[in-house]
Amino acid sequence: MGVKTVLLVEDDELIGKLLVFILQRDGYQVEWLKDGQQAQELVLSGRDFSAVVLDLMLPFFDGLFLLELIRNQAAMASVPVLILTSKMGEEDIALALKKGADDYLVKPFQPPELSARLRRLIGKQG
Amino acid sequence: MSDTHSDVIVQLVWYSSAVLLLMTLMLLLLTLFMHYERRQREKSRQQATEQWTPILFSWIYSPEQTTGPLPQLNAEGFGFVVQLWLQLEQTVRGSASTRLAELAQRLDLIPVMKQWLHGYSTDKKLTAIMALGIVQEKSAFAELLPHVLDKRTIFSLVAARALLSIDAKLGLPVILSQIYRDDWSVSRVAGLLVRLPHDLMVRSVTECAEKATAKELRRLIKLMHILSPIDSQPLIQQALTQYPDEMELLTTAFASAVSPDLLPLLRQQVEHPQWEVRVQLAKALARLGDSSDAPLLLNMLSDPNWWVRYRAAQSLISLPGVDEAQLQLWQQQLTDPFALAILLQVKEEQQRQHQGRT
Repeated sequence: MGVKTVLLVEDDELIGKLLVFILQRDGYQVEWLKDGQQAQELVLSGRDFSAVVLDLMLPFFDGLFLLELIRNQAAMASVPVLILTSKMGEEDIALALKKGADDYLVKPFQPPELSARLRRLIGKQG
Repeated sequence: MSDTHSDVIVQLVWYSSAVLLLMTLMLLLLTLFMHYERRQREKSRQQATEQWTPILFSWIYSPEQTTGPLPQLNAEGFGFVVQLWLQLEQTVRGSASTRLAELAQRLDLIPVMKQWLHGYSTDKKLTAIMALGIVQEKSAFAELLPHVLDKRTIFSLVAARALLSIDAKLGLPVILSQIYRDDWSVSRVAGLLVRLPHDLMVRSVTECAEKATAKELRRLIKLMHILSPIDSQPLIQQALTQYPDEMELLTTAFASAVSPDLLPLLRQQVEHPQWEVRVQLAKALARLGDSSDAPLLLNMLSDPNWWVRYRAAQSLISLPGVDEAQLQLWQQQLTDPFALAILLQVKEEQQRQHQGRT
Protein backbone atom coordinates (compact mmCIF):
# COMPACT_ATOMS: atom_id res chain seq x y z
CA MET A 1 0.00 0.00 0.00
CA GLY A 2 1.43 3.39 -1.04
CA VAL A 3 2.20 6.35 1.17
CA LYS A 4 -0.88 8.47 1.81
CA THR A 5 -0.68 12.13 0.84
CA VAL A 6 -2.22 14.87 2.91
CA LEU A 7 -2.95 18.29 1.47
CA LEU A 8 -2.09 20.98 4.02
CA VAL A 9 -3.30 24.55 3.51
CA GLU A 10 -1.76 26.84 6.14
CA ASP A 11 -0.38 30.35 5.67
CA ASP A 12 1.61 30.67 8.90
CA GLU A 13 5.22 29.67 8.29
CA LEU A 14 6.01 28.17 11.71
CA ILE A 15 2.65 26.41 12.13
CA GLY A 16 2.97 25.07 8.58
CA LYS A 17 6.43 23.69 9.31
CA LEU A 18 5.21 22.14 12.55
CA LEU A 19 2.27 20.49 10.80
CA VAL A 20 4.53 19.12 8.07
CA PHE A 21 6.77 17.73 10.82
CA ILE A 22 3.83 16.12 12.63
CA LEU A 23 2.27 14.66 9.48
CA GLN A 24 5.56 13.30 8.14
CA ARG A 25 6.28 11.84 11.56
CA ASP A 26 2.93 10.06 11.29
CA GLY A 27 4.02 8.58 7.97
CA TYR A 28 2.18 10.79 5.50
CA GLN A 29 3.49 12.56 2.47
CA VAL A 30 2.57 16.24 2.69
CA GLU A 31 1.70 18.78 0.02
CA TRP A 32 1.85 22.18 1.78
CA LEU A 33 0.25 25.23 0.20
CA LYS A 34 0.38 28.66 1.81
CA ASP A 35 -2.58 30.50 0.30
CA GLY A 36 -6.11 30.04 -0.95
CA GLN A 37 -5.30 30.71 -4.58
CA GLN A 38 -2.67 27.98 -4.84
CA ALA A 39 -5.03 25.63 -3.05
CA GLN A 40 -7.88 26.50 -5.40
CA GLU A 41 -5.72 25.70 -8.43
CA LEU A 42 -4.67 22.38 -6.94
CA VAL A 43 -8.22 21.40 -6.03
CA LEU A 44 -9.41 22.26 -9.55
CA SER A 45 -6.58 20.19 -11.06
CA GLY A 46 -8.42 17.09 -9.87
CA ARG A 47 -5.56 15.54 -7.89
CA ASP A 48 -6.48 13.01 -5.27
CA PHE A 49 -5.49 13.20 -1.60
CA SER A 50 -6.09 10.98 1.40
CA ALA A 51 -7.10 13.96 3.56
CA VAL A 52 -7.01 17.74 3.73
CA VAL A 53 -5.91 19.81 6.74
CA LEU A 54 -7.31 23.26 6.16
CA ASP A 55 -6.91 26.62 7.90
CA LEU A 56 -9.88 28.98 7.65
CA MET A 57 -8.17 32.36 7.48
CA LEU A 58 -6.06 32.34 4.34
CA PRO A 59 -4.86 34.90 1.80
CA PHE A 60 -6.93 35.26 -1.43
CA PHE A 61 -9.62 32.62 -0.75
CA ASP A 62 -10.68 31.59 2.73
CA GLY A 63 -10.94 28.04 4.02
CA LEU A 64 -14.74 27.88 3.78
CA PHE A 65 -14.62 28.76 0.09
CA LEU A 66 -12.03 26.02 -0.45
CA LEU A 67 -14.13 23.58 1.54
CA GLU A 68 -17.12 24.19 -0.73
CA LEU A 69 -14.89 23.85 -3.76
CA ILE A 70 -13.52 20.52 -2.50
CA ARG A 71 -17.03 19.20 -1.88
CA ASN A 72 -18.07 20.20 -5.42
CA GLN A 73 -15.12 18.48 -7.12
CA ALA A 74 -15.82 14.90 -8.11
CA ALA A 75 -12.22 13.81 -7.40
CA MET A 76 -12.19 15.26 -3.89
CA ALA A 77 -15.84 15.25 -2.83
CA SER A 78 -15.35 12.37 -0.41
CA VAL A 79 -11.87 13.29 0.85
CA PRO A 80 -11.95 13.90 4.63
CA VAL A 81 -11.33 17.51 5.55
CA LEU A 82 -10.07 18.52 8.99
CA ILE A 83 -10.33 22.22 9.80
CA LEU A 84 -7.48 23.55 11.97
CA THR A 85 -8.05 27.16 12.89
CA SER A 86 -7.92 29.69 15.68
CA LYS A 87 -11.59 30.56 15.09
CA MET A 88 -13.34 29.05 18.09
CA GLY A 89 -16.83 30.55 17.88
CA GLU A 90 -19.79 28.17 17.97
CA GLU A 91 -21.07 29.66 14.71
CA ASP A 92 -17.73 29.17 12.92
CA ILE A 93 -17.62 25.53 13.98
CA ALA A 94 -21.26 24.89 13.05
CA LEU A 95 -20.84 26.58 9.66
CA ALA A 96 -17.70 24.61 8.76
CA LEU A 97 -19.36 21.32 9.70
CA LYS A 98 -22.48 22.31 7.76
CA LYS A 99 -20.39 23.04 4.69
CA GLY A 100 -18.92 19.56 4.81
CA ALA A 101 -15.93 19.55 7.15
CA ASP A 102 -15.39 16.14 8.75
CA ASP A 103 -13.66 17.44 11.86
CA TYR A 104 -12.71 20.71 13.51
CA LEU A 105 -9.73 21.49 15.75
CA VAL A 106 -8.99 24.81 17.38
CA LYS A 107 -5.48 26.32 17.71
CA PRO A 108 -3.61 26.10 20.03
CA PHE A 109 -3.90 22.37 19.44
CA GLN A 110 -2.48 19.17 20.91
CA PRO A 111 -0.31 17.42 18.30
CA PRO A 112 -1.24 13.87 19.42
CA GLU A 113 -4.93 14.80 19.17
CA LEU A 114 -4.45 16.06 15.61
CA SER A 115 -2.65 12.82 14.68
CA ALA A 116 -5.38 10.67 16.22
CA ARG A 117 -8.23 12.54 14.58
CA LEU A 118 -6.58 12.47 11.17
CA ARG A 119 -5.79 8.78 11.50
CA ARG A 120 -9.43 8.10 12.33
CA LEU A 121 -10.67 10.15 9.35
CA ILE A 122 -8.31 8.47 6.90
CA GLY A 123 -9.12 5.06 8.39
CA LYS A 124 -12.84 5.65 7.97
CA GLN A 125 -12.31 6.51 4.34
CA GLY A 126 -10.69 3.11 3.96
CA MET B 1 38.83 95.75 -1.21
CA SER B 2 36.41 93.98 -3.55
CA ASP B 3 39.04 91.28 -4.41
CA THR B 4 39.48 90.48 -0.70
CA HIS B 5 35.75 90.26 -0.29
CA SER B 6 35.45 87.82 -3.22
CA ASP B 7 38.29 85.67 -1.79
CA VAL B 8 36.42 85.33 1.50
CA ILE B 9 33.24 84.27 -0.31
CA VAL B 10 35.11 81.72 -2.44
CA GLN B 11 36.78 80.35 0.68
CA LEU B 12 33.44 80.09 2.46
CA VAL B 13 31.86 78.24 -0.48
CA TRP B 14 34.82 75.90 -0.65
CA TYR B 15 34.70 75.06 3.06
CA SER B 16 30.93 74.63 3.00
CA SER B 17 31.18 72.26 0.04
CA ALA B 18 33.88 70.27 1.79
CA VAL B 19 31.76 69.97 4.97
CA LEU B 20 28.71 68.97 2.93
CA LEU B 21 30.68 66.36 1.02
CA LEU B 22 32.09 64.96 4.24
CA MET B 23 28.64 64.77 5.79
CA THR B 24 27.25 63.07 2.69
CA LEU B 25 30.05 60.52 2.83
CA MET B 26 29.41 59.92 6.52
CA LEU B 27 25.71 59.43 5.88
CA LEU B 28 26.49 57.01 3.07
CA LEU B 29 28.82 55.05 5.32
CA LEU B 30 26.24 54.99 8.08
CA THR B 31 23.57 53.75 5.66
CA LEU B 32 25.90 51.03 4.39
CA PHE B 33 26.75 50.02 7.94
CA MET B 34 23.08 49.84 8.93
CA HIS B 35 22.30 47.80 5.83
CA TYR B 36 25.15 45.43 6.65
CA GLU B 37 24.00 45.16 10.27
CA ARG B 38 20.47 44.36 9.15
CA ARG B 39 21.67 41.69 6.76
CA GLN B 40 23.88 40.15 9.42
CA ARG B 41 20.98 40.15 11.87
CA GLU B 42 18.67 38.55 9.33
CA LYS B 43 21.34 35.94 8.59
CA SER B 44 21.72 35.15 12.30
CA ARG B 45 17.95 34.92 12.64
CA GLN B 46 17.75 32.49 9.74
CA GLN B 47 20.62 30.40 11.08
CA ALA B 48 19.08 30.24 14.55
CA THR B 49 15.67 29.38 13.10
CA GLU B 50 17.05 26.63 10.85
CA GLN B 51 19.12 25.14 13.64
CA TRP B 52 16.53 25.36 16.40
CA THR B 53 13.20 24.69 14.66
CA PRO B 54 13.83 20.92 14.37
CA ILE B 55 15.10 20.83 17.96
CA LEU B 56 11.93 22.51 19.25
CA PHE B 57 9.69 20.25 17.15
CA SER B 58 11.46 17.10 18.37
CA TRP B 59 11.27 18.33 21.95
CA ILE B 60 7.47 18.47 21.68
CA TYR B 61 7.42 14.70 21.29
CA SER B 62 10.44 13.25 23.02
CA PRO B 63 12.63 15.49 25.15
CA GLU B 64 14.44 12.37 26.38
CA GLN B 65 15.97 11.96 22.92
CA THR B 66 17.20 15.54 22.98
CA THR B 67 18.84 15.57 26.38
CA GLY B 68 22.31 15.86 24.86
CA PRO B 69 24.03 19.23 24.86
CA LEU B 70 21.97 21.88 23.14
CA PRO B 71 23.76 24.06 20.57
CA GLN B 72 25.60 27.06 21.97
CA LEU B 73 23.81 30.39 21.69
CA ASN B 74 25.12 33.92 21.74
CA ALA B 75 22.95 36.74 23.10
CA GLU B 76 21.46 37.56 19.70
CA GLY B 77 20.74 33.93 18.87
CA PHE B 78 19.18 33.45 22.27
CA GLY B 79 16.72 36.25 21.49
CA PHE B 80 15.68 34.60 18.22
CA VAL B 81 15.26 31.19 19.87
CA VAL B 82 13.12 32.71 22.61
CA GLN B 83 10.86 34.27 19.94
CA LEU B 84 10.60 30.92 18.16
CA TRP B 85 9.87 29.12 21.42
CA LEU B 86 7.20 31.66 22.30
CA GLN B 87 5.48 31.33 18.92
CA LEU B 88 5.44 27.58 19.28
CA GLU B 89 4.14 27.73 22.85
CA GLN B 90 1.20 29.76 21.53
CA THR B 91 0.53 27.19 18.81
CA VAL B 92 0.36 24.01 20.89
CA ARG B 93 -1.11 23.05 24.23
CA GLY B 94 -1.25 20.06 26.54
CA SER B 95 1.81 17.83 26.88
CA ALA B 96 3.51 19.60 23.96
CA SER B 97 3.34 22.89 25.82
CA THR B 98 4.58 21.31 29.05
CA ARG B 99 7.58 19.84 27.24
CA LEU B 100 8.40 23.20 25.69
CA ALA B 101 8.29 24.72 29.17
CA GLU B 102 10.83 22.06 30.23
CA LEU B 103 13.04 23.17 27.37
CA ALA B 104 12.82 26.73 28.70
CA GLN B 105 14.24 25.45 31.99
CA ARG B 106 17.10 23.77 30.13
CA LEU B 107 17.82 27.04 28.34
CA ASP B 108 17.89 28.89 31.68
CA LEU B 109 15.24 31.18 30.32
CA ILE B 110 13.79 32.50 33.58
CA PRO B 111 16.72 34.60 34.90
CA VAL B 112 17.19 36.13 31.45
CA MET B 113 13.49 36.92 31.16
CA LYS B 114 13.56 38.59 34.56
CA GLN B 115 16.43 40.78 33.35
CA TRP B 116 14.48 41.63 30.20
CA LEU B 117 11.45 42.49 32.33
CA HIS B 118 13.39 45.28 33.99
CA GLY B 119 15.27 46.42 30.87
CA TYR B 120 14.51 49.31 28.53
CA SER B 121 13.60 47.40 25.37
CA THR B 122 9.83 47.31 24.89
CA ASP B 123 10.01 44.19 22.71
CA LYS B 124 12.10 42.31 25.25
CA LYS B 125 9.84 43.39 28.09
CA LEU B 126 6.75 42.09 26.28
CA THR B 127 8.51 38.84 25.41
CA ALA B 128 9.54 38.45 29.05
CA ILE B 129 6.00 38.99 30.34
CA MET B 130 4.61 36.40 27.92
CA ALA B 131 7.40 33.88 28.58
CA LEU B 132 7.18 34.12 32.38
CA GLY B 133 3.44 33.60 32.14
CA ILE B 134 3.79 30.59 29.89
CA VAL B 135 6.32 28.85 32.13
CA GLN B 136 4.09 29.79 35.12
CA GLU B 137 7.03 31.20 37.04
CA LYS B 138 5.64 31.80 40.53
CA SER B 139 8.59 33.94 41.66
CA ALA B 140 7.77 36.44 38.89
CA PHE B 141 4.19 37.09 40.05
CA ALA B 142 5.04 40.19 42.11
CA GLU B 143 7.28 41.58 39.38
CA LEU B 144 4.53 41.16 36.79
CA LEU B 145 1.87 42.78 38.96
CA PRO B 146 2.73 46.44 38.14
CA HIS B 147 2.53 45.68 34.41
CA VAL B 148 -1.20 44.94 34.68
CA LEU B 149 -1.58 48.59 35.69
CA ASP B 150 0.46 49.78 32.68
CA LYS B 151 -1.39 52.43 30.66
CA ARG B 152 -0.38 50.70 27.42
CA THR B 153 -3.21 48.29 26.59
CA ILE B 154 -1.05 45.56 25.10
CA PHE B 155 1.29 45.47 28.11
CA SER B 156 -1.53 45.36 30.62
CA LEU B 157 -3.45 42.62 28.81
CA VAL B 158 -0.40 40.45 28.23
CA ALA B 159 0.55 40.85 31.90
CA ALA B 160 -3.02 39.99 32.93
CA ARG B 161 -2.84 36.76 30.95
CA ALA B 162 0.54 35.95 32.51
CA LEU B 163 -0.75 36.52 36.06
CA LEU B 164 -3.75 34.26 35.47
CA SER B 165 -1.50 31.60 34.05
CA ILE B 166 0.81 31.73 37.09
CA ASP B 167 -1.83 31.94 39.82
CA ALA B 168 -5.45 32.42 38.77
CA LYS B 169 -6.72 32.71 42.35
CA LEU B 170 -4.37 35.57 43.19
CA GLY B 171 -4.38 37.14 39.74
CA LEU B 172 -8.11 37.31 39.11
CA PRO B 173 -8.96 39.99 41.74
CA VAL B 174 -6.15 42.16 40.34
CA ILE B 175 -7.50 41.83 36.82
CA LEU B 176 -11.09 42.48 37.87
CA SER B 177 -9.97 45.61 39.72
CA GLN B 178 -9.09 46.99 36.26
CA ILE B 179 -12.52 46.28 34.78
CA TYR B 180 -13.21 50.04 34.63
CA ARG B 181 -10.60 50.43 31.87
CA ASP B 182 -12.22 51.40 28.59
CA ASP B 183 -9.20 50.18 26.64
CA TRP B 184 -9.89 46.64 27.90
CA SER B 185 -12.81 45.42 25.83
CA VAL B 186 -15.12 43.17 27.84
CA SER B 187 -14.84 40.42 25.22
CA ARG B 188 -11.02 40.50 25.57
CA VAL B 189 -11.32 40.12 29.33
CA ALA B 190 -13.80 37.29 28.81
CA GLY B 191 -11.22 35.66 26.53
CA LEU B 192 -8.72 35.78 29.40
CA LEU B 193 -11.15 34.26 31.86
CA VAL B 194 -12.84 31.65 29.69
CA ARG B 195 -10.60 28.73 30.66
CA LEU B 196 -10.58 29.44 34.41
CA PRO B 197 -12.44 27.14 36.81
CA HIS B 198 -16.10 28.19 36.68
CA ASP B 199 -16.57 28.48 40.46
CA LEU B 200 -13.50 30.64 40.90
CA MET B 201 -14.60 32.94 38.08
CA VAL B 202 -18.18 33.33 39.38
CA ARG B 203 -17.07 33.89 42.98
CA SER B 204 -14.44 36.49 42.04
CA VAL B 205 -16.72 38.44 39.70
CA THR B 206 -19.53 38.43 42.26
CA GLU B 207 -17.18 39.65 45.01
CA CYS B 208 -15.85 42.38 42.76
CA ALA B 209 -19.42 43.46 41.93
CA GLU B 210 -20.22 44.06 45.62
CA LYS B 211 -18.03 47.17 45.70
CA ALA B 212 -18.42 48.14 42.05
CA THR B 213 -19.39 51.56 40.73
CA ALA B 214 -22.25 51.74 38.21
CA LYS B 215 -19.80 51.70 35.29
CA GLU B 216 -17.87 48.76 36.71
CA LEU B 217 -21.06 46.85 37.45
CA ARG B 218 -22.26 47.37 33.88
CA ARG B 219 -19.01 45.90 32.54
CA LEU B 220 -19.12 43.04 35.06
CA ILE B 221 -22.67 42.16 33.95
CA LYS B 222 -21.54 42.12 30.31
CA LEU B 223 -18.54 39.99 31.26
CA MET B 224 -20.59 37.48 33.21
CA HIS B 225 -23.24 37.41 30.49
CA ILE B 226 -20.57 36.27 27.99
CA LEU B 227 -19.05 33.71 30.34
CA SER B 228 -22.12 32.34 32.12
CA PRO B 229 -25.44 34.16 31.44
CA ILE B 230 -27.33 32.56 34.30
CA ASP B 231 -24.70 33.69 36.82
CA SER B 232 -25.12 37.30 35.69
CA GLN B 233 -28.67 37.38 37.11
CA PRO B 234 -27.69 38.25 40.74
CA LEU B 235 -25.60 41.13 39.35
CA ILE B 236 -28.62 42.36 37.38
CA GLN B 237 -30.69 42.22 40.55
CA GLN B 238 -28.00 44.26 42.31
CA ALA B 239 -28.00 46.82 39.48
CA LEU B 240 -31.77 47.28 39.62
CA THR B 241 -31.84 47.81 43.36
CA GLN B 242 -28.56 49.68 43.87
CA TYR B 243 -28.49 51.96 40.81
CA PRO B 244 -32.10 52.53 39.67
CA ASP B 245 -31.19 55.82 37.95
CA GLU B 246 -28.19 54.69 35.91
CA MET B 247 -29.60 54.42 32.41
CA GLU B 248 -26.64 52.70 30.71
CA LEU B 249 -26.36 50.18 33.50
CA LEU B 250 -30.07 49.42 33.48
CA THR B 251 -30.25 48.97 29.70
CA THR B 252 -27.32 46.51 29.88
CA ALA B 253 -29.02 44.75 32.79
CA PHE B 254 -32.32 44.40 30.91
CA ALA B 255 -30.57 43.18 27.77
CA SER B 256 -28.68 40.55 29.80
CA ALA B 257 -31.68 39.24 31.75
CA VAL B 258 -32.31 35.57 31.01
CA SER B 259 -34.10 34.41 34.15
CA PRO B 260 -37.89 34.84 34.64
CA ASP B 261 -37.12 35.18 38.36
CA LEU B 262 -36.10 38.75 37.60
CA LEU B 263 -39.49 39.65 36.14
CA PRO B 264 -41.00 41.23 39.30
CA LEU B 265 -38.00 43.58 39.54
CA LEU B 266 -37.97 44.34 35.81
CA ARG B 267 -41.69 45.17 35.74
CA GLN B 268 -41.14 47.81 38.44
CA GLN B 269 -39.27 49.90 35.87
CA VAL B 270 -42.36 50.46 33.70
CA GLU B 271 -42.56 54.07 34.88
CA HIS B 272 -38.83 54.72 34.57
CA PRO B 273 -38.25 58.34 33.51
CA GLN B 274 -35.81 57.35 30.75
CA TRP B 275 -37.43 55.87 27.65
CA GLU B 276 -34.32 53.80 26.81
CA VAL B 277 -34.95 51.77 29.96
CA ARG B 278 -38.64 51.32 29.14
CA VAL B 279 -37.73 50.08 25.64
CA GLN B 280 -35.43 47.47 27.15
CA LEU B 281 -38.20 46.44 29.53
CA ALA B 282 -40.55 45.85 26.59
CA LYS B 283 -37.88 43.77 24.85
CA ALA B 284 -37.11 41.78 27.99
CA LEU B 285 -40.81 40.97 28.43
CA ALA B 286 -40.82 39.49 24.92
CA ARG B 287 -38.06 37.08 25.98
CA LEU B 288 -39.11 36.30 29.53
CA GLY B 289 -42.70 37.40 29.98
CA ASP B 290 -45.95 35.41 29.95
CA SER B 291 -49.62 36.16 29.32
CA SER B 292 -49.85 37.93 32.69
CA ASP B 293 -47.67 40.69 31.21
CA ALA B 294 -50.33 41.62 28.63
CA PRO B 295 -51.94 44.41 30.72
CA LEU B 296 -48.52 45.97 31.36
CA LEU B 297 -47.63 45.88 27.67
CA LEU B 298 -51.07 47.22 26.68
CA ASN B 299 -50.37 50.20 28.95
CA MET B 300 -46.97 50.66 27.34
CA LEU B 301 -48.70 51.02 23.95
CA SER B 302 -49.70 54.49 25.18
CA ASP B 303 -46.14 55.47 26.16
CA PRO B 304 -45.17 59.01 25.01
CA ASN B 305 -42.10 57.56 23.22
CA TRP B 306 -42.65 55.93 19.81
CA TRP B 307 -39.90 53.31 20.30
CA VAL B 308 -41.41 52.15 23.59
CA ARG B 309 -44.84 51.80 21.94
CA TYR B 310 -43.30 49.93 18.97
CA ARG B 311 -41.31 47.44 21.10
CA ALA B 312 -44.28 46.96 23.44
CA ALA B 313 -46.51 46.09 20.46
CA GLN B 314 -43.90 43.60 19.17
CA SER B 315 -43.62 42.01 22.61
CA LEU B 316 -47.38 41.87 23.06
CA ILE B 317 -47.86 39.99 19.79
CA SER B 318 -45.07 37.53 20.66
CA LEU B 319 -46.38 36.69 24.15
CA PRO B 320 -47.16 33.00 24.57
CA GLY B 321 -50.82 32.16 23.90
CA VAL B 322 -51.63 35.38 22.01
CA ASP B 323 -53.66 34.58 18.88
CA GLU B 324 -55.58 36.60 16.29
CA ALA B 325 -58.82 36.51 18.29
CA GLN B 326 -57.04 37.92 21.34
CA LEU B 327 -55.45 40.67 19.25
CA GLN B 328 -58.85 41.59 17.76
CA LEU B 329 -60.29 41.85 21.24
CA TRP B 330 -57.49 44.17 22.39
CA GLN B 331 -57.88 46.31 19.26
CA GLN B 332 -61.53 46.83 20.11
CA GLN B 333 -60.74 47.72 23.71
CA LEU B 334 -57.98 50.25 22.96
CA THR B 335 -59.17 53.82 23.30
CA ASP B 336 -55.83 55.57 22.70
CA PRO B 337 -55.47 56.14 18.91
CA PHE B 338 -51.62 56.01 19.19
CA ALA B 339 -51.79 52.65 20.92
CA LEU B 340 -54.17 51.28 18.30
CA ALA B 341 -52.05 52.65 15.42
CA ILE B 342 -48.82 51.07 16.66
CA LEU B 343 -50.49 47.72 17.31
CA LEU B 344 -51.95 47.68 13.79
CA GLN B 345 -48.61 48.71 12.29
CA VAL B 346 -46.67 45.94 14.03
CA LYS B 347 -49.38 43.40 13.19
CA GLU B 348 -49.18 44.36 9.52
CA GLU B 349 -45.36 44.20 9.54
CA GLN B 350 -45.47 40.70 11.01
CA GLN B 351 -48.07 39.56 8.48
CA ARG B 352 -45.88 40.89 5.64
CA GLN B 353 -42.83 39.10 7.07
CA HIS B 354 -44.84 35.90 7.40
CA GLN B 355 -46.09 36.16 3.80
CA GLY B 356 -42.51 36.84 2.65
CA ARG B 357 -41.35 33.63 4.27
CA THR B 358 -44.17 31.52 2.82
